[in-house]
Amino acid sequence: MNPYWGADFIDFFLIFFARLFAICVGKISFADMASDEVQIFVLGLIAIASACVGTLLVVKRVAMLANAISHTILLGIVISYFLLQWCSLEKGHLVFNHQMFFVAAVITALVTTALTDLCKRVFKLQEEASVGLVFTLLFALGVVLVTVYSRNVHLGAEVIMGNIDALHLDDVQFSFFLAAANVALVALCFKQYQILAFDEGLAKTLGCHPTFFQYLLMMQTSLIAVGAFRAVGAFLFLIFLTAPVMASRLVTHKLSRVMVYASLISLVCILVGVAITRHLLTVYEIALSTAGVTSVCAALSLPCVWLGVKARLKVLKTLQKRNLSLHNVGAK
Amino acid sequence: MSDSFGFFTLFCDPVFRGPVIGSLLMSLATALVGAIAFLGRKSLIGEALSHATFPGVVVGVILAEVIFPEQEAIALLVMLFGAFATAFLGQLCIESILKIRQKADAALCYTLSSFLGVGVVFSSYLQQSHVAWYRKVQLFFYGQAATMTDLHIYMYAALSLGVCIAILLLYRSIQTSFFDPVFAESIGIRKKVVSSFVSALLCVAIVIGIRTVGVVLMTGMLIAPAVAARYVTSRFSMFLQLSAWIGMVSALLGNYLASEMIMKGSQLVYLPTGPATVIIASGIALLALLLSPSRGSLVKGVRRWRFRRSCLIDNLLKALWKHETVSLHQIYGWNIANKWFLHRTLATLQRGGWLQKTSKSIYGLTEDGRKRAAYMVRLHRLWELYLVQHLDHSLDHIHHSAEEMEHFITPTIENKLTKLLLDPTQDPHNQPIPKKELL
Repeated sequence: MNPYWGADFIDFFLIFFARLFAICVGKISFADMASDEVQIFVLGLIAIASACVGTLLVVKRVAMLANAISHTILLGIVISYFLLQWCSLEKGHLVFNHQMFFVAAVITALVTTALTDLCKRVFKLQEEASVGLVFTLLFALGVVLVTVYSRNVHLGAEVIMGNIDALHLDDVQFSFFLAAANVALVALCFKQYQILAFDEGLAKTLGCHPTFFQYLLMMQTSLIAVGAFRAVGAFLFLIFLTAPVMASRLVTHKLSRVMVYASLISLVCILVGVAITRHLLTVYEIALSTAGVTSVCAALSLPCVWLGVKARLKVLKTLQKRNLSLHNVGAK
Repeated sequence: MSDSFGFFTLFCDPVFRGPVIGSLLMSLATALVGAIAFLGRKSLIGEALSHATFPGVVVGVILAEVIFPEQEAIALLVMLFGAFATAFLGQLCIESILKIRQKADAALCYTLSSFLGVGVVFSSYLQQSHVAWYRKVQLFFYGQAATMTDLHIYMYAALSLGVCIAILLLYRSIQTSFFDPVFAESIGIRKKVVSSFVSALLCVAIVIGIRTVGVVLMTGMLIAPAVAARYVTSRFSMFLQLSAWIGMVSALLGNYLASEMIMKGSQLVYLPTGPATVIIASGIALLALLLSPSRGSLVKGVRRWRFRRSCLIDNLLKALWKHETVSLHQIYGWNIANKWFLHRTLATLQRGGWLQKTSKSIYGLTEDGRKRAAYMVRLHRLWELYLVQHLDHSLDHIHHSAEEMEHFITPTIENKLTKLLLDPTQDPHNQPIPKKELL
C-alpha cells in the first residue's frame, strides 16, 4: 500500500520528510520504499549527475552534442542488445541487465562523437549540420531496428515519454552508481575540465588533451542518458542538463558553485514535480506523467530564477535610492 | 494486394496516392527551406523548433476533438495551426533566452526539451483518458504517411506552394544577404528581416513535415538534402533545386521502403515512414560527401593520392637518371616515401617499361625511361633558368620552386619557355639542359 495514497501537495511533503527521516534512521528498510520515493531518488541522482556534467556541457557550448547523444542512445541500446544476445546464445538464456546499458553508453558516446568529428574534420561540413546529420541517421536506424525486431511500436513512444512507473529498487542502485561515478569523474578531472572550458590553448600547453576530455565528457553524458532512458525517456533528461545550470549561471559564475546550485535547484524541482503529480492525482484524479511534470518544473526554474534576480536588483536599487535621498536629507 | 507491386502504383492507387504525393510535397518544402537554413547556419534551430511543435500538436488534437468532432478538414487545420503556434513560441523562447546572455547552444537544448516536456505532460493525460486521441498524437512521433488521405494532399499542396512562392519572391534578397551582407544592407535589404523571414519559413516547413517524418526526425529532412546538394554544386539556384529533388527522391524511396516492409513481413509491421525517409536522405548525403566530383572526400583523396604517385614517379625517374643504376636499399635510403608505396610504384614503373631490374634488386632505366627522365630534368632546369633570368631569383632559392613546378609544366608552357629563353643549353648551375630533339 502506497503511503502517499490520497495525499495532496502539503501532505506529500510532510509524509515524505517523515519517511525520509525514518529511512535514514533505519526504521523503514530500503525494500519498503514507496514508488514515489523510488522515483524521487532515481530522478534526484540523475539530476545531480546531470548538473555536474551539464555545467561543463553548457560552458563548453556542446549542449547540442548532448542532444545528439540523447537520440543515438537508442541505437546504442539496440546494438548492445544484439551483442549480448549473441554472447548469451551459448549459455542458452538471455542476460538482460545493467551491464548492457553500460555497453550501450560507451558505444553510443564513441560512435556519435567520432562520426560527428569525422564529418567536421574530414568532410569539412559545418558543425551544426554534421551534428544534425549524424544523430538523425543513427536515431533513424535505431527506430527501424527496434520496430522491425521487436514488432512493437510502443517502444518508440517509450523512448520519448519514459516509463517512470516501471522503476524499481534495482534502478535506485543503478542510478546511484551512475551518479557516484559521474560526480567522482568530474571531481577527479575538475581542473582539466575547467582549464579546457575557459582556455583551450593554455590547457594544451599544460599537457591535457582536448580530444580525450571531449570523449570523456561525451561518455559521461551518455552514461546519464542511459540512466535516464528508463526513467524519463531519451530526451527529457536534457532539461536537467541545461535548465538548472542556466538558472544558476544567472546567480554565479564560479564553475563549482554553478554545479552545486544546479544540483540543489533540480532537487527542489523534482520534489515539487512529484508532489504536484501526486496532488493532481489525489484532488483532480488526473494521472500525468511524473517525468513530464518534473521536467516542466525544471524548465520553469530558469524563468523563476531570472525573475528572482530581477526583483532583487530592483529592491536593491530602490534601497540604494532611498539611502541616497536620506543621506542627502542628512547632509542638509 | 497484388504481388507485382510496381513503382507507378504508388501514384495511382487510391491507398498509396495520399501518402506518396503528400510526402513528395512535404519534402519539396522542407528541403528548400532546409537548404536556406543550412546556408544561414540555422540547421539546429530546426531541431529545436521541430521538437517545439509537439505540445502544439497535442493541444491541437484536443481542441479539434472537443470543438469540431468528426470534421476532418478543420481538425487537421487546427492541429497544424497548433503546431505552428508552438513552433513560433519556441522561436520567441530561444530569442528571449539569448537576450539574458545565455549560450546559443544551451538555449536551443533548453527550448527543445522544455517544449517536449510540456508535450509529454499533455500526451500522458491523453494516454490515460482518451486513448483514441492519444493514437492520433502518436502518429506525430515518428511520422506515419500510410494513413494520409487526399485531404492531406490538398492541404500540403497549398502550404508547399505557399512556401515555394515565398522563396521565389524573396529569392534575390535571400541570395544577396547570404553572399554579401554588407552590400545587402547598403541596398536596403535588412538582415534582420530576412533572418526572421527564414525563421518563419522554417516553422511552416516543419509544420508541413511532422506528419510524415515525425517530430523527432524532422531535422534529418531539413539537413540531409541540403548537405547532399551543397557538396555537388556551388551555385545558389542549382543548390536549391538539387536539394528539393534529393528531398523528393528520398521521400519517394522512403515511402516505397516503408510500404514494402509492411507487406513483406510475415506479420504486419508498421514501419514509420520518418526513419525510412531519413535513412535514405542521409545515405544520399553521405554518398555526396564521399563521391561528389568536386568536393567529395573520397574523390579528393584519390586525386591527391594519384598526384602524389605521379610526383613520386617523376622524382624516382630523375634520381635513377642521375645515378644510372641503383639498388633497392639505396632507394629506401632516400626516404622519399614509405616502403610499401615505393615498392608498389617501382612495380608499376617496371610494368610500364620505364624501369628494368638488371640484377637482384638493382634497378636501371630503360631507353623510354631515360627519355622521360631527361624530359623531367629539362623542365626542372628550364624553370630554374627562367626564375634567374626573368624573375631575378638568386641561385640558392630556385631549386625548391623548380622541384614543385616541374610536375605542373605542360608541353605548351615548355614550348613558350624554350622560345622565351632562346632554346638554352645550360641552366644557372652550369648543368646541361637535355636537348628537346633528343627526347
